[in-house]
Amino acid sequence: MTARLGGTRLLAGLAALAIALFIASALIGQVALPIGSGIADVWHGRPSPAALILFQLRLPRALLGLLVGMTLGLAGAVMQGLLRNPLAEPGVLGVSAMAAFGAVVAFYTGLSLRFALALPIGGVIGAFVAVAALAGLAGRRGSIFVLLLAGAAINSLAGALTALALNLSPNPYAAFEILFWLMGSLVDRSFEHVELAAPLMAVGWVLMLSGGGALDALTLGEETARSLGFALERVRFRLILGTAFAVGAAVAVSGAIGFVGLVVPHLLRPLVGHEPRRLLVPSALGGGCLVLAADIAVRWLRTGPELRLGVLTALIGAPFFLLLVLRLRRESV
Amino acid sequence: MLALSALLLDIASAHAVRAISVNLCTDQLLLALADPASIASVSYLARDCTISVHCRAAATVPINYGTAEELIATQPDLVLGGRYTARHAIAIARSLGLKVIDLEPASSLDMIRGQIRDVAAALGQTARGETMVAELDRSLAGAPPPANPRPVAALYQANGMTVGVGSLVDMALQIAGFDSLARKLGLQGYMYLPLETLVAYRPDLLILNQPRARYPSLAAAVLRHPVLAEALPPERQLVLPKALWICGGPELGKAIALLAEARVRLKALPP
Repeated sequence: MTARLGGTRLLAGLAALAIALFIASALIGQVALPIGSGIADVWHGRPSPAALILFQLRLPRALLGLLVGMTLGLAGAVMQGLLRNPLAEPGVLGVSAMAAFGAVVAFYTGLSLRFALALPIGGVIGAFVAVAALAGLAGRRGSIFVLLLAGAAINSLAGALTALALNLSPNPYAAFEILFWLMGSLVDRSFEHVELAAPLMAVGWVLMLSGGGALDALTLGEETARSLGFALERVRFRLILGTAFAVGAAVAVSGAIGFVGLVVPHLLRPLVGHEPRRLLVPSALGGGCLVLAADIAVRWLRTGPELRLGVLTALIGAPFFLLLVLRLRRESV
Repeated sequence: MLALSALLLDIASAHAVRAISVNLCTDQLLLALADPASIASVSYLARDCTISVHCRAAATVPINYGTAEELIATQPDLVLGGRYTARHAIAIARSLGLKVIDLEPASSLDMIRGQIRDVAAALGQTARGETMVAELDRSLAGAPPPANPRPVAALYQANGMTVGVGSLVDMALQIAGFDSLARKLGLQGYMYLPLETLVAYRPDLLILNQPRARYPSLAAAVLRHPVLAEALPPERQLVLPKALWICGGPELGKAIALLAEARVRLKALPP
């Protein structure tokens, strides 16, 4: 790639796109709104229907779209660097699914009714178990495909455990809610969800971004990274913890939205070069854009009860994944 | 004379028919009209107090899951069912020559009165049937009469579902003097009502089935979305237990009376 975009120009472009999509997300919905007077009503604290819809329904939804997308994009870039595997991603490797299982346990046992934070914490614990298991596997002889198979196993196990937990719930609706947890949705979210998830996501981001230098060094191999002065075990743990915090909190409020962390870093890598650190912030912004766009699309499509977000991201992401696999096979021959 | 003949009929049926019900709504009629000894079994749903008025009584009689095997093993004199439930079992019961009453979903008060009388007669409990009809009519007579303009009410259920034209709920709202939001939006039957639409149209009264389920679900979480409380303060919300208006029985009269009373209370509120 000869025409490498300047880092700041790329970041500015992505940020502008994210802001545009954020505004579009607040403008689109089930009903047409008088936006101008709605904003005026919000400003003056008048609880008109337009103000309530804008501020209580669309704003938290757009915020979560942005934050969850940023988390997934960033976590994808980190996992690809950490596991030194171009196909790594929270969704594909079962991290999101395990986070969903953790959140499901916290939610359907009624724990999160008594202690609201139990919901994202359940997600974080689930995600942590999955990332730690994957990092343990990749740490030794990290064959790309062994890791993928391990991820597939974690994914199915998490899906089965989630289905089991939902079926054990005495609430008759629970069994039908697996679609939300495995495919993700932002329908009817509120500021309560933003307040629950955003702080934990932010902790995760800080931990992940702080390990960027080590990710760069890791591309040269573990020995070289150590000789460059990186305490690899500690950095690795920080990255695992960061991924777990961010992805766990995100999945707990949005369900598992797949492939965002796979597609976004790959699309952006040619633009920033191959140092993982330079990919982190653009991937976060790109992830935010992708999830916001998908969330606009599910409302724009008007399928009655909304299409799950993960359906759209998988329709884009799965063929993309297949292309990557084919390219890898060609390279390894 | 009528009362006397009813009495004679009741005596004649002292060896009462043994009946089985495979539908939640016929369960209610059977549990209310028949002696426990003549109830072979009711459907398992009858024990769920959120949808069954007679859930306590149901706990003391056997239950069934609407399968043909259970019907055949029971060998009842009478099978009670709804037009849309346990169809295979009902078909087999008919082929075995069992007496079957399957009720259409009720769509008018007269239809409800007729169904109560039909089931009571088949059970040999005509007098209890008349008492039940009288109870329904007494509840209805006690309800404040409709007045114009009709306020708008919306039922909001788990998963953001509402019930539109052609339903018992719609009928109850009309009789209680309400316009239904679902009807205004042209919704038919059991339909999805987006939260945004509900807030945008802001009905005069929001009707919820239950304040809170015992076990959490995402489906019920939407009923606790903070925007609902902001758009519709507590005095514009009414909790009406689902069991009261899921079936066309005497309970529906109570539901209509509660709705009509809520409508009168709305008048005192600032617009």
